[in-house]
Amino acid sequence: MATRHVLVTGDSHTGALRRGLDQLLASGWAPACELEVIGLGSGADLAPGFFVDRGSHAEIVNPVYRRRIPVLPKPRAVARKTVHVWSGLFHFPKVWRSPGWAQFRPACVRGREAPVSRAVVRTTLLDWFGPQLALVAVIRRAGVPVLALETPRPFRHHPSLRAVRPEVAIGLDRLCLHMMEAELRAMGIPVLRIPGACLDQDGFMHAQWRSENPKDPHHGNAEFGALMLRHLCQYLENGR
Amino acid sequence: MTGDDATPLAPPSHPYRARPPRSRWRTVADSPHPLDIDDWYRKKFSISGLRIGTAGSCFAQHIGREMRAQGFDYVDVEPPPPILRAESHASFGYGIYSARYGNVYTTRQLLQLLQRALGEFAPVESAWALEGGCVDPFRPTIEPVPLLDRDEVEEMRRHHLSQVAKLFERIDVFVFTLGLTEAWVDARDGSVYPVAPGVSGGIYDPAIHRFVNFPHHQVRADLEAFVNRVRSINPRMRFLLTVSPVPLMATATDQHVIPATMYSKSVLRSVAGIMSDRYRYIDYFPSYEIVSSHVMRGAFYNADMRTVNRSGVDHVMRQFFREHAPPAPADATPPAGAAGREDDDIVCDEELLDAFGRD
Repeated sequence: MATRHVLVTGDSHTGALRRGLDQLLASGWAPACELEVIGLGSGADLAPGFFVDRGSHAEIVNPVYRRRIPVLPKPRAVARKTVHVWSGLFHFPKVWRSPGWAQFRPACVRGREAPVSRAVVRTTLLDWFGPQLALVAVIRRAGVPVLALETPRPFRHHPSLRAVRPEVAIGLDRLCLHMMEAELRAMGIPVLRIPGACLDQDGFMHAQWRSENPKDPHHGNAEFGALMLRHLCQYLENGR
Repeated sequence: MTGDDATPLAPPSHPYRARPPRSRWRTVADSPHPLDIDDWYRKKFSISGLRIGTAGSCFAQHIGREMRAQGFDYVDVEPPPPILRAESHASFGYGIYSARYGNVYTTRQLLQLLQRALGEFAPVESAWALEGGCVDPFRPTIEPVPLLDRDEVEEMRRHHLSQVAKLFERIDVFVFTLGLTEAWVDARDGSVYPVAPGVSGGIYDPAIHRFVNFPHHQVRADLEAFVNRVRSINPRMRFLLTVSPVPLMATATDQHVIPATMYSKSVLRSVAGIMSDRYRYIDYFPSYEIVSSHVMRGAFYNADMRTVNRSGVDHVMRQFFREHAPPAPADATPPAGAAGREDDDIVCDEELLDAFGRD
């Protein structure tokens, strides 16, 4: 029986996954599937126009991204039953990092700031993540299994938390998480969540998973990448 | 009389002789083009350097937007959150008026808005069900989709009303556009709804919801009550009234919609005139006449002959700014985070380079 091929791609969080994969392979880990991790590009450029829907596939047109992956799903993906694992739909610092949140809060969080409705958050979420959702829809339409991979929840050392109340940041993050899960569920795309043990009681990431780069506010480290890849392989082996 | 035939007779005196050209219809008739008619308005007081707030029926949106664009000290007590794209501000009720009250059509609605903000009136109806969620009966279309539930309606309203109260403490000039005399009232407590129950939420119940076409004396009484209450908390407040030139979308009276519109606008125009004549701190700006006078031949209306076109708005505001000269245009610098790459994004680039090199 052929080894299952798994392509992990997407935003910059693939960096930790790639370094995690290197670490695992160096330690002699032998996954039951053939894992390939290719970062497409920074999430900031996963914006309208980064790909063109060609019906049977998505042609990546962002000139930097297309050097890494020119089309998705990858050629022969259907024949190989390649599982496409997409990273990027859960990067919500984009939503809560603005210092403007010092004067606002989601309506579900108590406080003195101006409340913002769920609809405002959802509209913004779909504005920003719409292109990525459209991409995974094209991949799925091509008959290729797609899985959305959760990326780190907020780290307490994120500099925006000096201006934005932590309860507001976490409240927004949770709201976005639930909304994105609902969107993906409606599209029939499963989500692989982060193990609960990675989070503290307030929903922040434990510091042990933060990037090796002390200036990096939101990426995980190689250990986190390795943890998620083991988690992914286990998930796929269990047939889910 | 001197009896001297060489001395021209002084023209007979009458009250109109001393009137300026703008007082005579001949000035209008002699204007080569409707746009050449000017001097429509003389300000009663200066608003230079004063903090300005706006509310009213839909035409008031244009006035507020143009004043803000021209650099007036326009107060917005409920600005949009940092994440919302500018294109979505209006659909979520941000940036339309000085607070997110939506359209305030009648003077009774305006008075009750103030009373609710000051905690002097608590309507029995707190939320209307709509499409699995809830809306605020007093601004049911302030967002494009219903809020989650009653709790979210209440949470949003509590903040909104607190900001409305602050608005009336903070501003120096309140620009209000009177729009309608027709309204739907809750018989239980007299609450006035901006739209008929059942249109954008709620369930129309003839036993509870009653149609009212406010008569002249009530429109005036409500406006005077509003003015007096505002000045009791902010004695320096001045008011600039206008009447919306936008006809009724529909009338709930038995009248044809055109006579119903004319009746409504006549009442509102009359009340605005009386208030302006009576109080030194109330002025009237004739946007209604500039747009809807027959001398304009309907040129300022869109094809539906109801909504005002861009030329009409521009012409109205030119007349306004002729008397109230704008300060320098406001700085159009976009807020932080609205566009461009932020530090977080730069870190993302570095992360990819670290893991994948420059492939």
